[in-house]
Amino acid sequence: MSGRDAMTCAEVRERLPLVPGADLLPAEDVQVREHLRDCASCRKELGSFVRVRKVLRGFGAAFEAGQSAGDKEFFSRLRTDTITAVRRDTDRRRRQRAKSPRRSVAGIMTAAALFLLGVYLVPLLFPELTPIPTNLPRIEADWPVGVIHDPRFRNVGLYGLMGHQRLFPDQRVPLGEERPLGGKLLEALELAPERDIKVLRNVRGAVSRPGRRK
Amino acid sequence: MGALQQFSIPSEYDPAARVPAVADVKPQSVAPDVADIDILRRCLDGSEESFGELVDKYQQRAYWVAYHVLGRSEGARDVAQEAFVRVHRSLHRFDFSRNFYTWFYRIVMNLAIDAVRKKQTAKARNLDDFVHVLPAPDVTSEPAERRETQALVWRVLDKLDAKFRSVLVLRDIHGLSCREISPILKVTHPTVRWRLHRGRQIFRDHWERMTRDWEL
Repeated sequence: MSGRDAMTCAEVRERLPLVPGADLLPAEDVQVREHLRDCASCRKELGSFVRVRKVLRGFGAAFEAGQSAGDKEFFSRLRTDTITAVRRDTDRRRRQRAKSPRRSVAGIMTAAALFLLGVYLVPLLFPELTPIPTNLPRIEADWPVGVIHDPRFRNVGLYGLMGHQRLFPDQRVPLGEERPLGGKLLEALELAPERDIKVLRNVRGAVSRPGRRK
Repeated sequence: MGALQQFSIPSEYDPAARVPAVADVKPQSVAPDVADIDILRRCLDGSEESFGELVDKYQQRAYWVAYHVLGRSEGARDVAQEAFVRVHRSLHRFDFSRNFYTWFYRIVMNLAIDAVRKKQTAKARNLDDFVHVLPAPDVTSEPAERRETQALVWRVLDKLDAKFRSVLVLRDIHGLSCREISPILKVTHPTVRWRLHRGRQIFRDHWERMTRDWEL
């Protein structure tokens, strides 16, 4: 026996599946071999794995060894089909490559159109989804009852006031109160000069004025 | 050594008769096949004839590996064909410092395992089904005993999970080493050995149970 500790039967049996075909690591292999030399029961156990491997080896050999006329014809047909499939795939990819620049341009244009639509339509259709402007101009207005029923006002009102102060249809903004409003509302206010809304313009010409009116 | 000689196991499986131990530790077949490289370079230059050479060289291996994993001829045909299409498509990405067949086997195995998992057709089949799917008609003229054994092997293989089955097919049926299987399945060498160990155990258990039932 060598200087190493000898393996027990349990340790050897744990490794037996890898003995056929010599798949053990070299160090384990030496120890297993030493054990098998003296242990009949482990050798018997090994026999079952050896038989199984022999069956599998024979199984593979049975298919690959026989090259009958039928086999040759089968593989010849498979070869032809394979070459045809490869040729077809090459042609298809060549056509795709030819189409791809046109596709890229169309894709970019579609993306740009969708982006612009998003930028302009989303605030109109879903004003509550639009981000709140951080640097809003201030406006002082007397907001008469009912004015918010005007669809233009309602939309832009939500847009401009969202997250800050919401105006309801019957809500009246007292004269002199400051409201942070978006540009759309200001635009709408200008679109309806007949309404009884007083807007104070600031010095820079915008329809707003920073700070509270004294 | 006297006791070992009484050991009624073929010398192929005798641990004492194995090749020098170092061979197991060193990676095998790391050097790429020069002939393959030559063919591949010509393929890259657009030579269809060279691609035909490649098909001739590897078609049967691809088919049989896929067949043993899938257990049916039609699927194996598709896998072998698709593997070559993929090789042709991604030949420009092939690393010439590596072995072509490792790369090719990996493609074949991936396709075959995918097919097994997708279709779940690797069911236990009876002898008639087995004969029907074989490509070579004269296999039916094999001795009945061998056909029975083959049918049993199919049934046992069908019971194995794809990860064990693929290792058993490559190692025990196709004779690749664990070192060669490792890059093909993209797993470590210890993982291959563990799957082989477990796969052989499971196969042995099913095999013994089925042969016992068969004899009864």
